[in-house]
Amino acid sequence: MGLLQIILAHFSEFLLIRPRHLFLQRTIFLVLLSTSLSAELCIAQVQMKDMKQQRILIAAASDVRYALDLMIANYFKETGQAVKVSYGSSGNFYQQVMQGGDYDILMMADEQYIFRLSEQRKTIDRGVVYGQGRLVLFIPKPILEKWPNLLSPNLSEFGNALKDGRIRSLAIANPAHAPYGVAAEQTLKSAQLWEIAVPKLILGENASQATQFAISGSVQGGLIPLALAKHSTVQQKGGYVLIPPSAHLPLIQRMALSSGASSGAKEFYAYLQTEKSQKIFKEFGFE
Amino acid sequence: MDWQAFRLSLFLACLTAIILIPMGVLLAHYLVRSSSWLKQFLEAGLTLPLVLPPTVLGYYLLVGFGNTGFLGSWFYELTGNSIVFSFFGILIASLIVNIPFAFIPIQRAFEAIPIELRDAAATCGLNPLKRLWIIELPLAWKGICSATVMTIAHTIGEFGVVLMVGGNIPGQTRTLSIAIYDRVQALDMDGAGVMSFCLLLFSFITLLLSQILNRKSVVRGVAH
Repeated sequence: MGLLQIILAHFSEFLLIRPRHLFLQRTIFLVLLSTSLSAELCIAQVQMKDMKQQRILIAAASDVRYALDLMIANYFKETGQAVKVSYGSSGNFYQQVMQGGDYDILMMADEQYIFRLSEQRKTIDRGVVYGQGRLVLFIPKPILEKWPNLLSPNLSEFGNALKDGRIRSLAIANPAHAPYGVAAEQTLKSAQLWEIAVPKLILGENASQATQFAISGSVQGGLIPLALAKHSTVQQKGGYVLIPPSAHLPLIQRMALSSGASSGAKEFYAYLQTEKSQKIFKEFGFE
Repeated sequence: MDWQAFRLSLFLACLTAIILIPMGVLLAHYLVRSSSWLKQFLEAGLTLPLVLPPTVLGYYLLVGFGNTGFLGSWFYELTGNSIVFSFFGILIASLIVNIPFAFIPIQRAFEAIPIELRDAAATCGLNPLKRLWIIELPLAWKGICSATVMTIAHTIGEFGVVLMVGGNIPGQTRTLSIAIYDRVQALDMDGAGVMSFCLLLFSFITLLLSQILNRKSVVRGVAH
């Protein structure tokens, strides 16, 4: 922070100057300030250019968070190349890319978003599938200790608990733009629980936030991704049961290179398709 | 602790203050003396971001500066970069959000300078620029300092607009307050806790600093 030092140094001088030198010194101060500012900006610009050539920036659906973090750590160990990720809901990233968001690789929890982006020529092709996401019903420990039979795949006991008020709130991702929220909505509808559940829903901005709500201790359950439920922090906080895939439309996870992807990004994209990476995807529940 | 986000926040805050404060000084200096009917409109407009929800601003920035927007498409054709979801985008957002913080304290400081003093300086043959430079700026120094501190502190704390316009891109738009949000979503409460505590400490110290600064200038008799 060279700029900051200069500002601070002159700032203090500014306050202590004797009156007869005021005008001269303040002019010098302003000249120094503007030159240091422009120099700093030039440096920042050069750095940004450097970054652009070798930077790898991924927009990833929040359900791959732990799997992808692991692969990025592995990749860094093997090649020394750093990879940056922004996690969020697929619908949000779709919106961002359409508005000019500049990512190298896109990983979406619903392949339709990738198809739509490739139609708009935002990606170089229709990408590849890296797995199918699964939804789970998560119940926090204190609730589970009282009523252990809440965890059944057909949601019958869970449905009763929703009706009789044992479950007062349920965390899901926002169905408006998060694929796991859509799947949660379909699951509740197919179990004829949607009407009862609506006033009890707590909507997370994405699947990751829904998970955070579910384990917070303030809600009594959540419909969250299997890939996140497998994380140790989540497992300590409660138990989960897999929702049968027939309860909702399949969550096919697809990734693609954006049309302006860097060469480094292409290499990492290939790395994500190696057997080693595929194994990690499987370990985190992407079938 | 996410040092990258910390540096980014600091850089954004300093840049915002450096750009806004001189503009605030000139605008406030003009508006204090002006009696035109435009003054009311301008003042209301400059204070607007204070009460405007960040999402409203975020919406208009996305519409205006997105690649489909008027300014955004023009900028994209000129430079090949988009404004939103980049550092430049959050800089513009934070410049707009901070206008009242940079403007109001300086305006108050200029208002406190007695009109006789300015008239006396004018009769001594000082032109308006010199008057500002030699007489009014040193007297308004207190207000300018507190405007700078408030602008920096507020930029570092800004969340809503930055998330909406900047996304959450490490090294480009992930400021410290966004990094906390991201850590919480990653269920990394320890990481979020450390950063939250740092911000808490920082905010408190800046406010303390601005108070001490104000008091000092009163004791030294710089302010009237």
